[in-house]
Amino acid sequence: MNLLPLTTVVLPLFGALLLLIPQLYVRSRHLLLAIACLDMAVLLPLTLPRAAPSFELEHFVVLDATAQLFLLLINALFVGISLHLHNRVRAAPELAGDIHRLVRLSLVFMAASNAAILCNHVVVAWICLELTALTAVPMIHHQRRDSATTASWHYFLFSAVSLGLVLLGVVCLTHGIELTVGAERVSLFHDNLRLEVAIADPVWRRLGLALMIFGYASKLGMAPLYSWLPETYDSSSPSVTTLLAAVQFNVAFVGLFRMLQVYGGNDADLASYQLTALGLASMVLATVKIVSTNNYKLLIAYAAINHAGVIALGLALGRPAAYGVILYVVSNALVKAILFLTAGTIKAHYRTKKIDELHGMIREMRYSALFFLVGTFALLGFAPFGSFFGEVIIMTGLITTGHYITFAALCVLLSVVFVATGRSLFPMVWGEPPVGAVRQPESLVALGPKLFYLAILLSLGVYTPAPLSTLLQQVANSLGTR
Amino acid sequence: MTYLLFAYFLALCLPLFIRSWHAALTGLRIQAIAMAAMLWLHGLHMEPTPIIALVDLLLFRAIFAPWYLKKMATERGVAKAFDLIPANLLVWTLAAILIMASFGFSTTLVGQFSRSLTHLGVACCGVLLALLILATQRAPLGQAMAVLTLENGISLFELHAHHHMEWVAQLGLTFVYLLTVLTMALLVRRLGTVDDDGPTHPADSAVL
Repeated sequence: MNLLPLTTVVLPLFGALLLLIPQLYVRSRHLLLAIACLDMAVLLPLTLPRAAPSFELEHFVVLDATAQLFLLLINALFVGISLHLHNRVRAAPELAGDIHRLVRLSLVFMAASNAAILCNHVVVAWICLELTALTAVPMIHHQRRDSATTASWHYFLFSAVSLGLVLLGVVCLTHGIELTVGAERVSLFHDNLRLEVAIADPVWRRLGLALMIFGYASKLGMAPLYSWLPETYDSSSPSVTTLLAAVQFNVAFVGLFRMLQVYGGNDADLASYQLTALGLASMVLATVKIVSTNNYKLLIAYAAINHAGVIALGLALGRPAAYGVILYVVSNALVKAILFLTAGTIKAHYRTKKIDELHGMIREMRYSALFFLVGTFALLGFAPFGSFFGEVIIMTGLITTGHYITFAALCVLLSVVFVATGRSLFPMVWGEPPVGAVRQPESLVALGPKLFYLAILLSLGVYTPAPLSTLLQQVANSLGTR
Repeated sequence: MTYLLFAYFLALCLPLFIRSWHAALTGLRIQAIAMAAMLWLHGLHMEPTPIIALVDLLLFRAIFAPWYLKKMATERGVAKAFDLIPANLLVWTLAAILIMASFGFSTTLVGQFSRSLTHLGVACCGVLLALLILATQRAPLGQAMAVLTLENGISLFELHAHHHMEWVAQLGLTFVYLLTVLTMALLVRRLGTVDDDGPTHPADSAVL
């Protein structure tokens, strides 16, 4: 039995347990970094492409291409977040007070995230996703700002509803299967479900799918249940925002993706209509908000909703755009990580989140401004970043499958976002700096995580190493039958 | 079984029209007890999954969660007169429409003469009325009750299925429910102190 994948769950949990010892509180940021790096080191050999998925622990754990790719992604992101947190506490020692609490929660969050991705059982995977939401709640109001407490309450409520709907969808699907194969033969393991779904009662099956898509879409921050996302991202500290926007987003995406894998070509019409409607609604809403906001953190949050919309449109197409969707999801996680971490650095220095109060950042914070600029380019889908190629593949998919109206709507919305984001963010970087502004020293170590993300983002666009490319292809091939 | 579903239905609907949070908590208790009785009547067969589910319903949903919410409400000095949904004709009509829609939906799903009709109708009512409470309620305590009503509605749906999932999954669901109640309590307590403006943390000016 190969229990190595479970190390990615056990190691963070062990770290969290160690942090119950008060003597280790002062070492918490070192412990976090050490565990993140160790996890990554354990994971690397496991992510080499393999011919067939392997199942462990009485079928509860699966290591397939989807798990390999997303484990690699979220753990790479976690290394960067840990490094950022480590540097922030080093730079501002007043933050060290109760950092151990945040570190402990982050480690439990990562253990639950890794478990959710590795899990082959639909309910246990749901439980792990719910655990990430419940550990995120205290992290959001870690710094005990009143606005953060309110945001964490709203996050909790929306999570309860969206994940509740997902569970309800699972119950409906189970009942649909039960009606045709009998209660004794129902299995909730993903690989068995693929076979059962095809013969399940179609009414219950479709109801289950509709509820699961709506629930997961809400967890991804899509309309109509989106309002928690900008509020939460704006109120949390940058490291927590990045954990939510880049790590938890991908864990929820894997949940949705696995359900679409399970359904295969069944009810593809329903999935397509629902995802297209949710995707376009999210994009319209995000575009309106991007045009009107004067807060750069909120702008990035609305851009995240916009991107979730693009992902939904890609998923609606099934196989023709699958590679583009996966490339876009991976790139998007890295872009959000770069932008939210940089936004945190900018906020820490300027003490404002208002766009019109910031000008000429390039003169004061050269490297942060450059990262912000490059991140914005990637956010807008410029070449040579992976997000550009992902977007192009999704657009090509829309054309080749005859979705001309959706294609036109996507082009219009992306163009408006392009102009509105550029108009808002570029003056922050290039405009005239305030009188008396001096260049701030920025250590290379502090820039490390963003540099690391940028390198991966570029490599996804310019040169993707063969193992990673194979992995991306395998994940894309696992979606749908169309 | 029908009388238990009727008890659940009454425990779900009556608190909407009674101006008291005590009534709402008693409603949650009765819902959990009714579900536990249904599970008992289904037969436990000494299998771990239904036994865990029974403990979940009796210990956590019928006793712990309402008790904890009551403790919080008392601590925060919440007035006894408490509307779960706004007390006006419009919202009451909306609630009535949702109840009728639930049974209509249930009829569409399983047919007019099915034995599951009442079960699904009541479960659907539970979910939809919980969403109505969430949509109209502004007080954290009321929103917390809505979340618990939603959880109960989903559990009633689960009871409709005869399939017993693996005991590990059932145990996980119970753990998540318990954690949800504790997290909710922590937040409702903290929200009670969110009045003053400005930072409440010494390191608030710095950003992690």
